[in-house]
Amino acid sequence: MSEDEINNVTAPSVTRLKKQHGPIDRRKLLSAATTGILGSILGGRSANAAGFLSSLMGNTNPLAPSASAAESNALRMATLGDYVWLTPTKLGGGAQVQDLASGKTMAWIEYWNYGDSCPIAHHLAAFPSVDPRKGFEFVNSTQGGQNALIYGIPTQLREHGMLDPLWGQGNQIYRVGFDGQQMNLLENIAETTGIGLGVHTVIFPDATGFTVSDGQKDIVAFFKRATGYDKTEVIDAFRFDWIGNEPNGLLADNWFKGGKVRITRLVKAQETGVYDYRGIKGNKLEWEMVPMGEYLAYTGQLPGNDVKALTGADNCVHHPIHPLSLVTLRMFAVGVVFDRTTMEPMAAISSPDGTSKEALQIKKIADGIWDLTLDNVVTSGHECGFSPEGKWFTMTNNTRQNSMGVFDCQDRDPRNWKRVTVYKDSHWTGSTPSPFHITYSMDGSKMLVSELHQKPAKSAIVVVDTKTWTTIKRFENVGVDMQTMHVTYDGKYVLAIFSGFQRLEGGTFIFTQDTLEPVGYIPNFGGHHDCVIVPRNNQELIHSRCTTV
Amino acid sequence: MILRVTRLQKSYGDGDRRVDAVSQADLSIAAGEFVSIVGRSGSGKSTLLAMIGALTRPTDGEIAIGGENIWALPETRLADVRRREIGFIFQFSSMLSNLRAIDNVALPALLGGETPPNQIYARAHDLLTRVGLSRRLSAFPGEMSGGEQRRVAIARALINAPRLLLADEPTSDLDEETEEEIVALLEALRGEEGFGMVMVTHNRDLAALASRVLEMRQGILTPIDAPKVQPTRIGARNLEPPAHSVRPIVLPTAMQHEPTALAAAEGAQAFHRLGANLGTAVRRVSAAGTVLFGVAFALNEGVARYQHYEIEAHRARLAALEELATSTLRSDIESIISLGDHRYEVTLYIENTRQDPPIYVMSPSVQAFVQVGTGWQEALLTPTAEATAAVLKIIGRQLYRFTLETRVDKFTELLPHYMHVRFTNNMLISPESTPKDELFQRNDNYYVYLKPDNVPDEAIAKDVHFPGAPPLWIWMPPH
Repeated sequence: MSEDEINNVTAPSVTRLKKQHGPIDRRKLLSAATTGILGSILGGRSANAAGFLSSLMGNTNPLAPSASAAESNALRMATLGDYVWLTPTKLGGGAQVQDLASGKTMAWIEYWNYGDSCPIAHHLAAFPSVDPRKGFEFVNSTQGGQNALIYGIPTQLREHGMLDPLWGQGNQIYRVGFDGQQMNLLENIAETTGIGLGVHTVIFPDATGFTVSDGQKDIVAFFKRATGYDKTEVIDAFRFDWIGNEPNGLLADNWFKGGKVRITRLVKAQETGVYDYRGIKGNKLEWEMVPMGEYLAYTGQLPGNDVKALTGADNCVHHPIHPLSLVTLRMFAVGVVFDRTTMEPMAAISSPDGTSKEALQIKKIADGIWDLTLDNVVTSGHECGFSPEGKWFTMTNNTRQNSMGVFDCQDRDPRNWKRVTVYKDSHWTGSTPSPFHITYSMDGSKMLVSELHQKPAKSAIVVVDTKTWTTIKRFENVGVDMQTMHVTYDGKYVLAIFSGFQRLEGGTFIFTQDTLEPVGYIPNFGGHHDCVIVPRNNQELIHSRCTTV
Repeated sequence: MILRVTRLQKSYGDGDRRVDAVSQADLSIAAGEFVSIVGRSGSGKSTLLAMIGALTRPTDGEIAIGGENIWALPETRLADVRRREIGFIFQFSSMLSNLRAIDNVALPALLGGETPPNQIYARAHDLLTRVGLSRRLSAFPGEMSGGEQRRVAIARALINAPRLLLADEPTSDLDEETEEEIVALLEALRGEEGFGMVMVTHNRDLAALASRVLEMRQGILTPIDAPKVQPTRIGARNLEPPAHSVRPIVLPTAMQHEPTALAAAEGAQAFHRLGANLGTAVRRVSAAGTVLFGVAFALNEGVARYQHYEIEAHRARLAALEELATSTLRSDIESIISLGDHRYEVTLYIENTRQDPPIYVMSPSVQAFVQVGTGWQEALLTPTAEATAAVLKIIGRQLYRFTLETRVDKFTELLPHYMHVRFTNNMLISPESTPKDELFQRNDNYYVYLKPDNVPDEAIAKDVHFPGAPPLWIWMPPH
């Protein structure tokens, strides 16, 4: 077999045996054929037959050639709602905005057009706009450039010199404006501020600013929002470094035998007046903290300059009511809570079952330096989120535990937050499948969790009742590598995007929020990794994944 | 005087383009009189007849039937005149092909709705008998000859007992013998019914049988013969010899009835029942329709439900198979050990996560490739004995070993010094050892970075930083 043939081998997923008589015989075939004919004549609706009776009953095909474009728009408008849907194109290197009412792509942007030689459009978040069709702004981070090397793509990026430390290694933060007709790059925030980060971008619930995080650098930055061609300012930025109790023993012991997290407020470089964390500057790892990245770290398979200092601080979410932001440290499934009024860490919580303490103290060492001591580490974590009414906080515990810690987070003082239970779906055994991204129904009565399965299995969705913290519904085999979910602001539908491990099948699965009935799929062109329905006000912003990742 | 036509004019166009189809025509016909009009084609004969018959409105002039100017009447009244006062015989018989002869004859009277159907059918029966068709009452037009059809047309024209019969070339498509019979028949009937008759013909021999003959030439009607004494029966006529000799006219032979003479009665009764039982008939049809629709609807629902069941069952089987093949069964690279000399022992695991019952993997095919340039170059991968079985029975976690040889000169280094290696594992999966239904074909790709055995760790460490010694292989997560 030739090389090309190997590269292009495809086969149907279901194969019928040749020369196999089995349970299908001629009689059954005849029966099926007869049924099909009868169904076609009489119009069996479940088979989508268009028989004369169905025609008489008005059961006409809405997709018939005679249907006008306007009619098809009306159909979609009636089903999905009048929303603007923003998605990044991951390895495509850009973002696109779609009109869910018409199904049209309204505009897109590709960052390599602006001189970025390896943009991997990663996470994004949109600021509220009264009329998103006329204009809105969003922030889109780009993943570390060497991430293009870990997906099994036979690339020659390195040979062709496209991995420049500044413009080919990602970690750009693009602020983009849609003006009603096209997308315009307004600012590269990494260039403006000197802080280049490539993972979660999460807007404050009051829309005055946002955070960007990156577990590859263990840095979380708080930004003050700019609009138009104004420049974004940094409110504060923090780095998280792990100092293990046993750094010279077995590599895994570096984390699992405890230690302390040092939190440091970053300062601007005196020479330039901006921070010095652009491009690969500050990278502890060569690659992003992918799912299972913790496993790679403590088995020594993750290259990088400072792997042992890894905490995995790759996301920061915001409490919907209180001015509190929580940074996830993935290596420990621990959250560090910052008070945005003082811009200091106040407390920490530990999500896994079995940790000695669920509420942890932060000790201030000096101005801009804090320590968080972890006596023991049980497992790593990944994503987390607050419920929209601000009552619950949950975090996924992965690799070694596969569960979710559930906290009562209503108190303004995070030191009083209590872990009320540890939720675990019956499917969560071993290392996979594992809980992944989180969102909530509009009223917070349901938690929606994407469940990551090992390739090539398709992800599932788990719906959890937040009164009893039990599974009330599972959608199996939804799509490969499911990512984030988003609820339409009228509370009718949940849209779940899956990216196909960058190169396999992709799509957006839709189900009803209240009745939890599957609706169907819409296309996902380009392996999106994230999704946002552009909010029209701050109330919608709360449901726009500014409290969850 | 049954008909009086005064200065009748029919013109088309205006000014220089004006054409007078009929010009200043005058004509009077007494009751029972027979007048013929001759003329060449296009001379205006048929136009004149159409105006007299209230079919075409004249440009000028007056037509009085029974002393009433018909074109001064409203349209509804004019229709009555057409139906009651005038009978038409056209150039072609124009029968309704789906009606019997007697139905065709009765129809104009039935449309009026003034006479009971049984009386109408009785007259139709009588008329058809008188035209010699007593045995053909129930014949359909397609079953009759041209002469027979023309006789039916005559009977139809007389069903309403008109005072004036207009015949426009009534024998145009008939042979000579038959056309003489038709004219003789008309003459006989005229004698019996007493209607006046205007016959347009191009046959001067036939025209000569009329009491008066007029000629239409370029729209102008002129008499060519003096009025004659009007006989009442053809046999008693005292005609002057015509210009050409005419064969003797023979009346139809003795009229014979259909054996049972039921056709007329049946038609009348059927028409009567149609009206009398209309409500009942509608209710019965509705009831039958409802039952039929209900049966069809139920059948439709049944078929739809069966199809739904079958489709759902099939979908469920496929979903369960996919779940089994992709989630319950897991597979990846377990370990890689260097054997030296570019050789590695590669261990693949296949795990049935539910332990029992077993999962069967048919014909596993594992290959290895090393990235060279932007393509994949196959590397020799030799399975050990346990990995060569045709069917693998998977219970729990099972390991299969292969020997990999990577003698590749210039491999691509995505990670400095490391080979980029791809393993493909194609499996046909079934829950049964002898599959009876679908199989799931699963195609896995596992990617690793693999350290060549001829590169010292120190050289690698200069370019790539690891927390420990450079690992032999690096598993790449799929995300």
